[in-house]
Amino acid sequence: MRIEVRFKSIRTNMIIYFSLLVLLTVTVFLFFSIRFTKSNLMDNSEKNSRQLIEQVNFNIENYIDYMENISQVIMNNRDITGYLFDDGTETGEGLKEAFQTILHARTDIYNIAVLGDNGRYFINNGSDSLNLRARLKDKEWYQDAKTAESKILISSSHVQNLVKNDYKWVVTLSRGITNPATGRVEGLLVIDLNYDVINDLCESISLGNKGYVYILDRKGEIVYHPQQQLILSGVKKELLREVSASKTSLTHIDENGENKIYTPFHSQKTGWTIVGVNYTSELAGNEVAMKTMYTGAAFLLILLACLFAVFLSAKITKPIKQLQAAMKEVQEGKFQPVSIETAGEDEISSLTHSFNSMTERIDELMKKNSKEQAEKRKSELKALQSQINPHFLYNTLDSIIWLIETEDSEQAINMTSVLARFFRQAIGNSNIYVTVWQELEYTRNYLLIQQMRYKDKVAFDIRVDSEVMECAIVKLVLQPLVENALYHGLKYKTEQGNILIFGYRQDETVILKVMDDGVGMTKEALNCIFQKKTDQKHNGVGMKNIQDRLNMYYGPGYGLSVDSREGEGTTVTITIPYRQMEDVNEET
Amino acid sequence: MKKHKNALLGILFLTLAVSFLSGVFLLDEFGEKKTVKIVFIPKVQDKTNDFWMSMISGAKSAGKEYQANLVILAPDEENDYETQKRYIEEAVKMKPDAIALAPIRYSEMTDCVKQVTDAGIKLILIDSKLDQNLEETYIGTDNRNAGLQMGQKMRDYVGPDTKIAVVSHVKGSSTAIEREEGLREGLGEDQSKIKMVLYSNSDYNQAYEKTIELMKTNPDITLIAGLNLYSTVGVARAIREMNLSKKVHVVGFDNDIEGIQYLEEGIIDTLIVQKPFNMGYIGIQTAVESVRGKKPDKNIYCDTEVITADNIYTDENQKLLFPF
Repeated sequence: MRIEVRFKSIRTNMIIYFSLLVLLTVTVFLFFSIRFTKSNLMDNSEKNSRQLIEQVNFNIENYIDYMENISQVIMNNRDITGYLFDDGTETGEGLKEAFQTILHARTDIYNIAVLGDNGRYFINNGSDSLNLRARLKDKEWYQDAKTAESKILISSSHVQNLVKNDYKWVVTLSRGITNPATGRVEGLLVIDLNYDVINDLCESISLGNKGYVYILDRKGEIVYHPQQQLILSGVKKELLREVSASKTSLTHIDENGENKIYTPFHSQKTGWTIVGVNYTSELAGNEVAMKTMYTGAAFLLILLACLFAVFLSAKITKPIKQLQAAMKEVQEGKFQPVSIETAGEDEISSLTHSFNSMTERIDELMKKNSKEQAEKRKSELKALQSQINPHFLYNTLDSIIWLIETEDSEQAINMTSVLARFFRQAIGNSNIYVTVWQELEYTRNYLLIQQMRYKDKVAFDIRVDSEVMECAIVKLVLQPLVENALYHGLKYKTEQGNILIFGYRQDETVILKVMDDGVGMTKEALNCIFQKKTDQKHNGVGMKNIQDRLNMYYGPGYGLSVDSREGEGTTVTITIPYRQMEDVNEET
Repeated sequence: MKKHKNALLGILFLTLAVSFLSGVFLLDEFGEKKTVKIVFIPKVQDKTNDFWMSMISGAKSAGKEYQANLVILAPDEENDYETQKRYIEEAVKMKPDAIALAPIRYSEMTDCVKQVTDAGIKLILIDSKLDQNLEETYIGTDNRNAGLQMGQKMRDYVGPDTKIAVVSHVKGSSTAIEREEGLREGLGEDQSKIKMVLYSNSDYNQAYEKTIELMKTNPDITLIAGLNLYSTVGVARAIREMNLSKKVHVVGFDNDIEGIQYLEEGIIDTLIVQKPFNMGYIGIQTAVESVRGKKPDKNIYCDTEVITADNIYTDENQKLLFPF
């Protein structure tokens, strides 16, 4: 099944896209900020460690410089050659004094010694004796010093066992001594610098918590390393030759998977390479704080943006929603309550404004239209109600003529006067409403005429409570019903037919019933009784016309109801509100 | 209903944002390791004792490298096991992640050490073991292998008429037994030439006196093996005093300045030297890794170096023999 998420409302869409946009923007921004700051941090700390290392180098070179100066001072002392190469006449007192002075002044110098190839030597204050088992010729530093002839040479770090019963870690400065008699290098000056000096220098440098400094000599061998033993015994590995050959910083991942940055500095003077090692994870010490800060800020921004999106979308879509609700009402046909408050001058406001005036206009037109329609209906009905079946008039007049011919003048006069009364009532009154009594009189006149015409074929009786006689009723309602009863009910009956008119008050309504005992109606005929507008056959007023008029003037809940059984007769009931004439007159 | 929908959407987006950002930017922070707290209790901390100073500096080096919070509690004297027991109790109260211990006694302090494991603290033993198996791992010299190295080297000095004496340290101690076994294995068939085994009880004077006595009663002995520093130095002193260095070969265990001088002088022919710096370093390294969930081997051995007069001043050995 494919899950399809569809966001339907504009507001949801706005929130989603706005939030996504902000998220994307902030994320990209964050990414580049962090990268930039990180590389900045890296650069700074590399610069910083380079400075520190240069400082270490500067200090070391200072020591070496100083030792060189000392060696120069000693070399200038004539007692040396005298002591080493003359035949034992020199006691060494001069040397002793010179060496003592230096050793007193500089505690970081362990030993000062001159060694002659002939076996003569003088060490420190002269009382220290040469370690006979020192095997100097096996020592690397000694071999190097010998091949360097009269040049100054700085050794790597080593244990000095030159002096008997003394084993110290030193860095040795050596320099060949020329025998003035032969002009050849036949002796060696040795100055031992306490290794602690270098050790302390390197240890005092802090490159983060874990970073460290180490020193390599020109052969790439370790002069100083905090974990020298681990490296020499193969427990750990360290970059040696690679670093001493490199002029720029190197990055390297060690056996624990830690990323380290090696910053080498090559000393011209000593030939050593001083290497600072930084852990990238530590440079990132600030990085963690920086990331936390940046990310926190980004969260805050996104949170604010999301809230903002929710509020903004609400603000924008609220009038749209109102408009939408209003349009729905209009769609359902209610124009009346549609009037939305508008504030501001934006597009939605002007849209709302247009909508408001449009609905107002439509409402106006609708009202006008329905009023016109009602007027038209009323005048139509007015025309209808004044319409009297012309056949009725012809037939009545024929009857009167026949009466005169038979010289029944009394009956003729009677009929003529009834007809005259009937017409006066029908034409003379232009009001819409008449009293029930007037309507009954009109109907009675009609019935009387018909009775006279058909002799005893029709009998009628009117039983209406006096209480309702003065009530108002729409004109020409009862008579057409009676006419219908005559022509549809009684006409097809062979024996005498009866028409009964009842009238009474029921609560706030007036009930009028027209009953006949004619042929009645089939169910089908009863069902379509309100459909025809006029009675085509008799040119009379149809049931529908009466019903429409009653509905129009009294509203729903009032009007006609018809009950009929085939062969038994029909009852038509009129229900109208109980109202006096005074209450309805002004309505016309 | 509408309001709920909005709130839900908001939460959805926040969650999305949070997870996305953390995913991208905090990925490498997950690897960030917490600081491990370790108490290291060596047998002694004494500036004149190179072996233990070297081990302590090895431990510190690892502590720095692994950014561990390392506390060192050490007695002033190597035999003060009561003090060491007190330090163990103190260490347990500090609630560290691991305790690295070099127990002074084999059986007298076992009950005390049990507190460590009972408290759920990882126990790392360095250099020496206990009579019960309580430790997470043991880091030290493979004494049997060191004895084997010694025995093999001794065969260089064995001739047809050679008679061998072994000056061990404490009878019944694990190191004495293991070293002697290894030594005999290294000698192979020449082990029949071992005439006697003496015990110095880790005392210079006893070793010295017993050697003088031995050489007087058995002047045909031509090869003596000292099984620890006290025995070795005691033997060397006796041989030097009796001027027998030309006739008697001495091989020994461990080193100090005196021992190295005897080596230079030719009184001692060979020393088997342990690597305390490495032991200390590996001990703390293993402790940190073990706390971080890496299961260490039951025994981690640091190898030993065969030192003769010819190789004292090589780069590697001078650092081993003369720590600073």
